[in-house]
Amino acid sequence: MVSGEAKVERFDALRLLRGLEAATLCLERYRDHINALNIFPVPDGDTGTNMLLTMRAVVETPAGAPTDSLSALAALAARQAVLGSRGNSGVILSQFLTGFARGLDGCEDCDSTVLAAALSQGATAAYAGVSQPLEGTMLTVMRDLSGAAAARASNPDADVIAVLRSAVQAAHESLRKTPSLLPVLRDAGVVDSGGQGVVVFMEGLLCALLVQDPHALEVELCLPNDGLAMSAATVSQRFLDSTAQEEYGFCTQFLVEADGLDLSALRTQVSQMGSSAVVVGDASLAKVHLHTFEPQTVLQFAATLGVTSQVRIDDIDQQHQDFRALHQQRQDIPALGVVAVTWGEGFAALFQGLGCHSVVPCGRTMNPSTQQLLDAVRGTGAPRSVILPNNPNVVLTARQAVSLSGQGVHFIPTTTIPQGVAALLAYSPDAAPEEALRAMERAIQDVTTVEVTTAVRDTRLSGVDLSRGQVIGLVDGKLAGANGGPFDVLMDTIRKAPLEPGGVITIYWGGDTQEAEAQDAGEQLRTAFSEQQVDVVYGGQPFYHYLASIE
Amino acid sequence: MAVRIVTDSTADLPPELVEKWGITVVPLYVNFHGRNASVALESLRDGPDIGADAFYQRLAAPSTLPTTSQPTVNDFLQQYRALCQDDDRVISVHISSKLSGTVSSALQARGQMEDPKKVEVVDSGLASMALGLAVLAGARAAAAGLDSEDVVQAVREACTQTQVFFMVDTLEYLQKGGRIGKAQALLGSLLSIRPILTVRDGEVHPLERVRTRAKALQRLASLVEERSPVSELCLMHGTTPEDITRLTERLAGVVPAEDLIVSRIGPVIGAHCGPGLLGVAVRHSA
Repeated sequence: MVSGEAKVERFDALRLLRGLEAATLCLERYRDHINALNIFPVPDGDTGTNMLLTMRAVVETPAGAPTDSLSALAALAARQAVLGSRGNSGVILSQFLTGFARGLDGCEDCDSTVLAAALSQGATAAYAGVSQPLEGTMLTVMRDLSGAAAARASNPDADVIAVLRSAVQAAHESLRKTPSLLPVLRDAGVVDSGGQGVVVFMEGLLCALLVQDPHALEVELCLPNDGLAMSAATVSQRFLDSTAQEEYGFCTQFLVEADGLDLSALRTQVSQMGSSAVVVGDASLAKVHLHTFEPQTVLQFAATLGVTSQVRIDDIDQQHQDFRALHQQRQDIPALGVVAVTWGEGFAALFQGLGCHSVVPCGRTMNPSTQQLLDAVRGTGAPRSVILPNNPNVVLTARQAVSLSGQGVHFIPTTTIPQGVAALLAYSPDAAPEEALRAMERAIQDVTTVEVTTAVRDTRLSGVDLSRGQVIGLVDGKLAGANGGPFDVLMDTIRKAPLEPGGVITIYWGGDTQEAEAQDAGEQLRTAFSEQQVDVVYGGQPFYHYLASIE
Repeated sequence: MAVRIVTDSTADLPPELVEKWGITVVPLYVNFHGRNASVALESLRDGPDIGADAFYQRLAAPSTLPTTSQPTVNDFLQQYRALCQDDDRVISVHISSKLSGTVSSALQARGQMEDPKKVEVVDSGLASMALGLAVLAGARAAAAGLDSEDVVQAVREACTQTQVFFMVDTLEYLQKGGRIGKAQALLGSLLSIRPILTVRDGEVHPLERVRTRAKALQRLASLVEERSPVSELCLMHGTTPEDITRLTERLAGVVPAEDLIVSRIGPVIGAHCGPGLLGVAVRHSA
């Protein structure tokens, strides 16, 4: 205990609420740093963003939080986190909060011993939620911090502050050890990003308990050893590009620049003008995302605050109507509805064309929340449904949606879009659900996925040093080519992939790739492999110049 | 008093079986529309006027798609009257009434008979050689001397035990001909796929989708194997005898070699499915 500091003997609902709010603010401040720790060389699973969005779902509880019961608040927070969880890191965080709430069940408030036990239950729940827990990740950090809290709480002198302080310290130490536990981290020269997120989260909790200003909190960070930090500007733009489009009205996005912006006031004001409000930024620049019937009203309001720019308005109604029109062609309610998470408008159209009942767009950096998946499941109208996550960062969210919805909802752990296409092709609307699920599961085993992307940071993958900006080709996640531009890498990578006679090569070109180049690649492959069927299709995906499947 | 079996040309029965069992086949019509008004519409009888080879040659030419039409009431009436001399009975078994108006023509012809009771019209709910297998079941029952009710019973039983599975290279023909049925849901795919279809409840139903013809062939074979024990099997193709060779090898032993039927898809089914059709009709033992 620091001298002069008042002891806090009881942890109550108000302290938890302030703690969660402060943790969210801290995640917001350090989001970019956490994102920059991503080990995979493309920014497609932004851990910091996912954890932040998950926590925002907790603190933006519309109905107002109960502050008279610790147990009730913790349960509500856990529930909100589960529903709003995004990405693997968000799901794990939500399960941590779920276990934490379980540990506080029935407590109006609690002492340091119960608090430490609740943290331990949180860590246990987080482990239980992952099918193959990996050490050197945020799970390890959670376990270590809760272990330290329990050890500290066994000392009768330790108050709530002392316990949390020990937990935070242990989290820092545990984080520093993650590269020694997980070789892929050591190769990349970074600590685990999710673990860093947990440290930031815990610092926020402690900060509130000490009644300090979270805005002024300086968290000691483990930066990547090459010192790369992502610029806030790029993240802002990516944030703006992400939209969830399943509502009515117009998807409205813009920047507003002014001196002394009050983000939380802005968020409140904007929220009253529509739905799906996302307001992020700082006191000088805010990014606003909103679904509204009156985009002009929002823009006029924003113009009174400062200078608006990068205005983008998309008609959700039109998209919604197109979607409905497509669905109305199918008069029968399927026995098994199919929900797929996709990237890019090309893939969205492709999945719909193949009979997928509900397509959930995966933003450039925003993974869909559990709630979005549950809504999509409900949207199929089918008594049973199957979710195709099509992305390693959505697999846990899909699993969480399955466990929340009880019977009748399934998921097939597709980690790439080509696997999702194969599963969807194997889906038969006439088959019994069990039979259809088996066929879909079988189908993903016959697909090899090729990815061509650009490394966004210096890193090491499959034992090869890669520099930022280098185009790389992966076959089922393993580095297979890294020489030349996207076209060369694609051709090189496919040549190295296992081809069976009478197979199919499908090339999906991305949003940043020219169709002519993709068609040229198709022609050359047809000439080189005359016994292969070669399809060239628009995917429109971000980050990946090309995706390809080999079947 | 004998029982005579009548069907239509969509059964795609091999000529030697038609002859062996004394089956009467009433042809549908294939209509070729000229590209301009000065070229007359050609309406050809499926079989007597145009065979499979000539048809697929014309189909490959870049012109409008041929259409088809059911036999006329008179076509049926003439056959029924000729067959019902000597107090014989007619069992007339036809393509699904949801796919063709043939049953309707046959029923009207029956209604114009002096004694309609002499003719029984059966809507098989099937097409192509699935219909063909039901017709053969009727022919065997008739040859065994069963009375007309028992022959009808044998035909209906065969209809319920027989399934047809087929793949097409493109759904375009089924769509343009208006016979796409539930396979409508498969339209609009941006990928090239080979749909595997079936006829269920009288309509075309999508069953599965595979990416290549080679995989489709394998899947058709496994669909047959899944229906074991198989009592009758027919392989069907339009323009790809080499696929029949592969399927025959793959399915060797499912039925005795001498019982395996190979059928060439004729002009009417060909007009609605396109040249690449490959299919199997399979009857499982009860």
